[in-house]
Order: sequence, then C-alpha cells, then structure tokens
Amino acid sequence: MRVLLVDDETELVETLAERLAFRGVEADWVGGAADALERVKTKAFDLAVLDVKMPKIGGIELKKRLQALYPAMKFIFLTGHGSEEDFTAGAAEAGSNFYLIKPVKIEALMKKMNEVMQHSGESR
Amino acid sequence: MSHSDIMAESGLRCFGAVSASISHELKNALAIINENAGLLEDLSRMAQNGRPLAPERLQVLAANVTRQVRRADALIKHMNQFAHSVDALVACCDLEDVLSLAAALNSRMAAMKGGTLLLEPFAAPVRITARPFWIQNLIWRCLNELLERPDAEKQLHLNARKTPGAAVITFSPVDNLLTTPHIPGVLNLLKAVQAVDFQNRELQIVLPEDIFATRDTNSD
Repeated sequence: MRVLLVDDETELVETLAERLAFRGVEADWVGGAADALERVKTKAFDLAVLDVKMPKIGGIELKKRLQALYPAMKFIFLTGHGSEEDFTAGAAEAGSNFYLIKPVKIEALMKKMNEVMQHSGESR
Repeated sequence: MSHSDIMAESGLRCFGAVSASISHELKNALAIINENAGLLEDLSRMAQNGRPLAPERLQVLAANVTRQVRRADALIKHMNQFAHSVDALVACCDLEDVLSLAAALNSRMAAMKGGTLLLEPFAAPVRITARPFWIQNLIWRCLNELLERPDAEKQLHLNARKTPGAAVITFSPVDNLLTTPHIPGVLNLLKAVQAVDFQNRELQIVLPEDIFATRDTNSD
C-alpha cells in the first residue's frame, strides 16, 4: 500500500510516516495541497490521508482535485474537530465516511486504511 | 442597533471563531505530542527486539515534545488573555499589547487564507481607554475582511501610533482602499472611524483616546 500523508503540520505527518513504515506501509508526506499535487505527478499512491483544514487549499478541495486526476485513489480525512458530529457535514460534502479525529491512534489509522482499501466504492 | 445586539452579532462571532481556531491548534499540538510518544513506544519495542536505539534520537524526540508543550502553553495563555478581555468595561489599553495578542490570536486564520501577520515595532507607547474586547473584535473584523480579498498581500503589517486626542491602528499594505471593511457596528461602539492613506497603502482605524468621554449615553 502506497500512502500519501498531507498536513501543514509537517512534524505530525513526518512522524506518522515513520511509524507507518515500521508497520510495512510505504508512506510519503508533504506539507500542503500544492506539494501533494506535485508529488502525485511523479509517484503513484493508492491512498491519501488528508488534513481537512490546511492553508489555501483544504483537504476536502484537495480530495476533489486528486480524485479528478486519479479516480482510483482512496481517501481518509484527519480533522482537529472536537467531535465526530462536527465533522459529519464536511465529510458528507466530500463524499467520504472515512475520517479520524486528531490525535489519532496508529492502530485506528491502520484499521481505517485497510477498511478504505476494501470499500473502493464508498470513498468516491 | 443597540450595543447588546452588536455584541451578540459581532462579539459572539469573534469569540467563537477565535476559540475554534485556538482549539484546532491545540489539537494539532496534542496530535504531534501523541505521535512522538507513539514513536518512542515503537522505538523502545524495537530496541527490546535488538535494534539499536541511539541516544541522539531520544533527544530529538524529547525536544519535539518540549517544543509542542511550549506551543500549547502559549496558545492557552493567549486564549486566557482573550477570554479576560471581556472582564473590564473600562480599561487603559496599551495598543502594543493589544495588537500583539491580536496577531497571536489571528495568525492561524491568516495562515488559512495564505497570509501572515507582522506586528511592527511601536515608535512610542500608545494607550487608549476602552473595553479591550471591543478592540480585539474590531481588529478581528478588519483582518477577516482584508485577508479575504483576492488581491490581499501575503504579509499584513499591524501598527499603531498616537495623534492629538486619538490613536490610529494601521493595516498595511492594503490595495483597493476605495472599499474599506464594512464594520459600522463595532466602529460605532468604539466611536472610531476609518481612514485611508493611498500613498502608504494603509487602512487606518482612528480611535479616540478615551471613548467613554465621547460616547453618547443613550445608545444602550
């Protein structure tokens, strides 16, 4: 599984990428939407893990752009929102039920990544 | 519109937006601490299985945690100052302190819009008598509107200076000064007026030194 982690909190995604690597996941990370759109030009990813709130282009808009370029790519959102209820509207707009609230447990992320890869239709 | 209505509309919106922004940043700090703790667990588990663990690596992770704790502490300190800005109905406000807090509180909002805020050094102390929260509200409204503009500069400078009988808060550089932020309610609360300096691309908010000396008494 090749995963792209996108969050303007680069220390977060850098650490997360290392922890995922320990678990056999090939994870790259970038600090924003513009870098993500560049990275996918040179490397194929099965899944993108996106922060919802990022400068200029947020995760929901980034998902739309990536999906237009790579329809097979799957998505998980990370959010700092305090409750799942808070995020429901945004996730519905993005067409995805796959999201996790920060701080995230690595086991929960691994489980969600496996789920999203198995439910190819739901995240589109 | 009564003061109560203005505070309900503008004040609560400001308080909600700033609180949401701060809580979001706190979540990020906690998430980074959480990942560093998790990485320590991973590394210690691997060390138990024979993989060497360099002390330098531990030092880096400890420094990461310390940095995020400091960040969270600063966020909470700013939030606390902001929360207490509603306490005093009348206070002598040092505008350098007020603008410094405003820059800290609104930095994430600016970043989300692709900009940064820079507090310019003050040439001399500038103090006014007003309700501190109203000034924070005024600055938030201005920043919100200025940074939303498509032609907004990446870096917005904040400053204040004293003029006879008044204090002037400035935002620069700002283009399209023919249109100024539409904030009549909060301007009225502070008895403030907007002015523009086209040459220096500066939006100015002119506040009386003591708004309570000039406020009419029947506006409540």
